[in-house]
Amino acid sequence: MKTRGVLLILSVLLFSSCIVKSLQPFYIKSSLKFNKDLLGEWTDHKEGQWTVESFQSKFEEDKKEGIKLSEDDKLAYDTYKDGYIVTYIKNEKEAVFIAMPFKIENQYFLDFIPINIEDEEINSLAAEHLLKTHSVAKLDFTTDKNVMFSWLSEERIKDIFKENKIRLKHESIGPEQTLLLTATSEELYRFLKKYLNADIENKWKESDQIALTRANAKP
Amino acid sequence: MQNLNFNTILKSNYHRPLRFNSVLWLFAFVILLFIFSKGQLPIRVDFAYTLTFLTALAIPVLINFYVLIPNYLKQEKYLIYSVTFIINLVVFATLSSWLLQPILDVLFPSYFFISYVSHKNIYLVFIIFLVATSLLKLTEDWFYFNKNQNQLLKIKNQHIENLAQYLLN
Repeated sequence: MKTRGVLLILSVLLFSSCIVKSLQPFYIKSSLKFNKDLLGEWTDHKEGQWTVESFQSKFEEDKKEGIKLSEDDKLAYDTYKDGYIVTYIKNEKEAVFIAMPFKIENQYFLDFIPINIEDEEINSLAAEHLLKTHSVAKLDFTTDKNVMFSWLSEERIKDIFKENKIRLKHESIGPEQTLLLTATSEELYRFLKKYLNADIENKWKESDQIALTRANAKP
Repeated sequence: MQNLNFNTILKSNYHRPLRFNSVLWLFAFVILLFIFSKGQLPIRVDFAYTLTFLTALAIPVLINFYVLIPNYLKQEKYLIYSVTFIINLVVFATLSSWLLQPILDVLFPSYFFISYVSHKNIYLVFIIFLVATSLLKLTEDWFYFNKNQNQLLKIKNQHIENLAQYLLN
């Protein structure tokens, strides 16, 4: 595995708190719903810069430039053509994600999976141990120029597990007992649907939220 | 004397339904609880799911026990029995796959019943349970009938012995 391609867990990059990680995507194919309102340049309240591009457009640009597509590229296109390529820069460090927009009832969500990071500072052997996982964020357009990402908080989900009120395939891994969901996408989607409507206090934890403002927006 | 054949066994009457059903459903609950908790120690959510699932499963099983078997199987109407058995199975398995989750959500709103039986596997569980419980019921009937036959034979033997004793005297 190329060190450059090895991926850091999203939570390490974005937050001091933990977000829920999954082996499988949180969406089912029929729930995918592209939203062009998210495209463009954004800045967040933690001085991060975000660029959201259409996966399909980016792919077609590459095609026009004469870049030859491999079978893997074509497979990736079929899988992610309804998604975005999200570039996140903070403290001059860049990470690139594929974000898949999907809807549950009338609520938009984004399934994130990292595809590329700047990882010069990571020990190559340590990097070999890192695993590409999915995370999910609720997407709320607060105004035309503001959007809020609310990640699913590990703390909240762990509370439900502790109360013995959930049966969802998962593992607790490593010395920190990090929660890793191992359920299928269908199960994860059903879980999110129930969680969205569940009466849980402060279920979208503030520390796992990030507010984005359009980069060219006038104050 | 009545012959000990399959038809007469099937025509035997129901007996001790409370004891039979108590043992059957207790075993069914334990087995399903073990399956749904996936070999781990069962937790609160598993008990709630198993109880609701078993209630849904009990309806077609009891219809089979007390309507279909006595009215069709024991009356040797095998074709009608087979057709109604399948209808009973399909209707209740389909209803369960549609309604089980919404019912669970109403009964236990703060619980998350996610990694349990898929829609496809609900049919499988219903098939296994309906077939297994039918065989159990027929087996139990056969033991009861056999016991009665033995008692009948003993009484008849006693009669013959008494008659022989009387004639000899």
